[in-house]
Amino acid sequence: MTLKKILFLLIMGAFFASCEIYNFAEPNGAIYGSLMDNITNETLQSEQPEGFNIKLYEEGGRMNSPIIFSGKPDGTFENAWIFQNEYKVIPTEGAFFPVDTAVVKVGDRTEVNFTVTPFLAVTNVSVEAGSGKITSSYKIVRSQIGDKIVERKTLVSKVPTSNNVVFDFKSQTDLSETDDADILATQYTDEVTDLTSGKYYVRIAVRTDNGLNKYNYSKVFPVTIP
Amino acid sequence: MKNKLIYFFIMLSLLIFNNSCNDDKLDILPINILTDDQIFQSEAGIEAYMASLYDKLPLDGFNRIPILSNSTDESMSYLGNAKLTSISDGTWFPWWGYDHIRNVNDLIGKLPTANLSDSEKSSLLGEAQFIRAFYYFGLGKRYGGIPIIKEVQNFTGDNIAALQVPRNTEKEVWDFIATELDEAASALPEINVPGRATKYAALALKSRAMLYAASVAKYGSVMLNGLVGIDPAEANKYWQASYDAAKLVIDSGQHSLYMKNPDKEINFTELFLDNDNPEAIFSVYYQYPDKTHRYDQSNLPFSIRAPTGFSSGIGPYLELVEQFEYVDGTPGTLKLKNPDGSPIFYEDPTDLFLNKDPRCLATVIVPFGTFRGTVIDVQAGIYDQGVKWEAGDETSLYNLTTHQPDNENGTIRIVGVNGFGSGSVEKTQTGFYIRKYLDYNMAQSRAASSDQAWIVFRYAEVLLNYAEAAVELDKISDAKWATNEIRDRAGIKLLDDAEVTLERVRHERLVELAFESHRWWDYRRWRISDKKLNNVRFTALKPYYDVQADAYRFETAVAGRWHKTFDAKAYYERIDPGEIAKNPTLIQNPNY
Repeated sequence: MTLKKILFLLIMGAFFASCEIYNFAEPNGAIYGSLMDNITNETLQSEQPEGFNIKLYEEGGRMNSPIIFSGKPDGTFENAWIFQNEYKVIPTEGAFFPVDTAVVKVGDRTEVNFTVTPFLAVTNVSVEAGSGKITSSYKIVRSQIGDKIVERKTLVSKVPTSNNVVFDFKSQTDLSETDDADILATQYTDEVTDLTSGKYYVRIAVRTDNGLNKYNYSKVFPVTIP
Repeated sequence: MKNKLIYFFIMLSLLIFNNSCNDDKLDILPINILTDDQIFQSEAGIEAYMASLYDKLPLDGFNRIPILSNSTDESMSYLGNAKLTSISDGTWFPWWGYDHIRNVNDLIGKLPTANLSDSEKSSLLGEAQFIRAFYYFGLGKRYGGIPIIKEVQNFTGDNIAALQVPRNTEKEVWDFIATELDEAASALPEINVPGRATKYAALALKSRAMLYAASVAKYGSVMLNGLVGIDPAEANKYWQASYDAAKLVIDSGQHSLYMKNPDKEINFTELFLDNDNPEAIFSVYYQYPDKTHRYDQSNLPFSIRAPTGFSSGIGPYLELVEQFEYVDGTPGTLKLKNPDGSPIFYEDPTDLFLNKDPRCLATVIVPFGTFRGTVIDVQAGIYDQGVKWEAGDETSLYNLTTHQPDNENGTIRIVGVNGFGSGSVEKTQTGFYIRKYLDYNMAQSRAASSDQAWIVFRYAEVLLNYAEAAVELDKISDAKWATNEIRDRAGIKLLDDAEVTLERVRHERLVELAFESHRWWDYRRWRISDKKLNNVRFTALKPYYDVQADAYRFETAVAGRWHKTFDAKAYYERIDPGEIAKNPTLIQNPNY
């Protein structure tokens, strides 16, 4: 009996004592920053996920697959779990014209900011709540001519996340038949009706005919319907 | 003990003496696998090989109908599962069939040395090219530009770089498919054994593929330097190619619309079940019990499901039903309410669908419609003395004397066996079931092993390809003729010149080809998926039995909990990151 116990312990010992702890240090670098919209001079209004992506190509990385992560709706981004190394950083797949790659030595927590030219921007925005309805007024502007302007929307959501896929009510207008010059010269007004009383989050979305159908957004305006 | 030692030494000596390092001894050919030489030197061998190639065609056949239809505004799944009631994010329908392309390339490479006559070789080569073009069509419609591999690649020990072929442009892929199909069409016979490609199968595929290419050029965007997208200036060339290919099929007279039964509804049902079908240009055949599929098992209504379980895989939306016009050509909106807002009562609930396009009742089973002799009782509840009762499941009863739900002494059901109520969720969530392709001749007990054929290309699709290409090319009279051929066979009013618009032609296509795995791809190539499916839920039709009126009234309701949103990146599928790891020259599609 004792022999069996001893044997068992020996075997278990052999089983567990075989190798030393063999592991790599976990990633301890971080990169963060923001995309500045050069029309509004504020951070680029976007959505999450899919609003825009940051691609990181690690120096000496063996494969060509980059580290890809989504930016946040307010135009900032952060990835706090990468190795400290040199990276090529490029913001991409968002509603802005291509920007140059930045080469960044990422340390403990490194900031990198980009200035982008959005396809469009929404300015001069006002949002008013009436009884059972919301009226928005805004202007579409751009600083660089790109694809045709095709669409404008006023999105109304019951949750603070308000974007092209998260909304409860909307007003949507097709602009594909309207001349761009006329669009840019107009102060638009949208009305979203049939709302019950409560708190809503309103956002304007406008889109050019870009390949990935990305929208440019206004800020989120919280309003309360009496 | 001594014996053990002897045995030990005998074993040891055997090991030592038999351990000769003769190279050839173990290098014997497997006796259960045919070698290339055996296969490629006989016609029977090549036919067997060909069968394995056909088997891998990316068809979107019976197994894909539910998920593709439920990813559009055609229908939804009964499952309350977010993923299964949502739609693809561009990673659901991958097909990276380069293993099959290698097999067909191997055949094409070895055919010239096969022990066959020149005419046999030429026909088989055409068949192989048709199959290869079909494979590339499956890739092109998903990924855009992909590497075009025409010959078998072999690893020689140090040629990895040569095997890592970068992506061709999307234009090159569609042009390659067009050329291959032209060659295939000229080599293939007009009539072939059922299940094998003919000249007209190749032309039908070409007319479909060129529609896809033209749509990408006209409605898509060029990205990644042309790896995806085509210059819009090329669009007319592809519309024309589609038009020409379809015209060759039409002018040949080899195929015609199925019109065996004078009853239009029965005719449109039989079209999908009759194997002796002049409309079928290329089909995949099944034969019980050797090769079967599970279309009926997945999609039969709940109460007549197969003994193996499952059912109700497709719940058509009210929107789809209303897309079918009335026979007089008026829009198909159902008449649920009087102008003053009060409900219209129907003594026979199926009268709601009177004078609808006969294809409607052949495509879906409507509430209280009859299938295989069973009334499919989809009932959402009861109205008694103006009070609506809809609680419970199909076992809940209602007492007409006490005017209360009463499982003890009740006499009538509150909700139907086939739908609504809180019972088993494995029932339609929309009020409708699919009927198209369901085999009503087959015994319920056998429904887990169906053997009706999958029609890959039918003449009606070719007519619709022709109509779409024609209307895009502004050949209105051609578009009108082809669309009216379809409408005439269906049994609805023909279009006049002014009505022939792109919208009407597309509408005819959506209705005629509903639940044939077209709509997902059609919306996608027209680049309207993200508009049609933007945070939306669609509609259910709920029938209520009104006790006082002794008749049925209908209400509509939002169907399902989950919203459908198509993400614009899914206009191209994601290339599997594993493939990119193997071949770093592959560039991923945008936004993955």
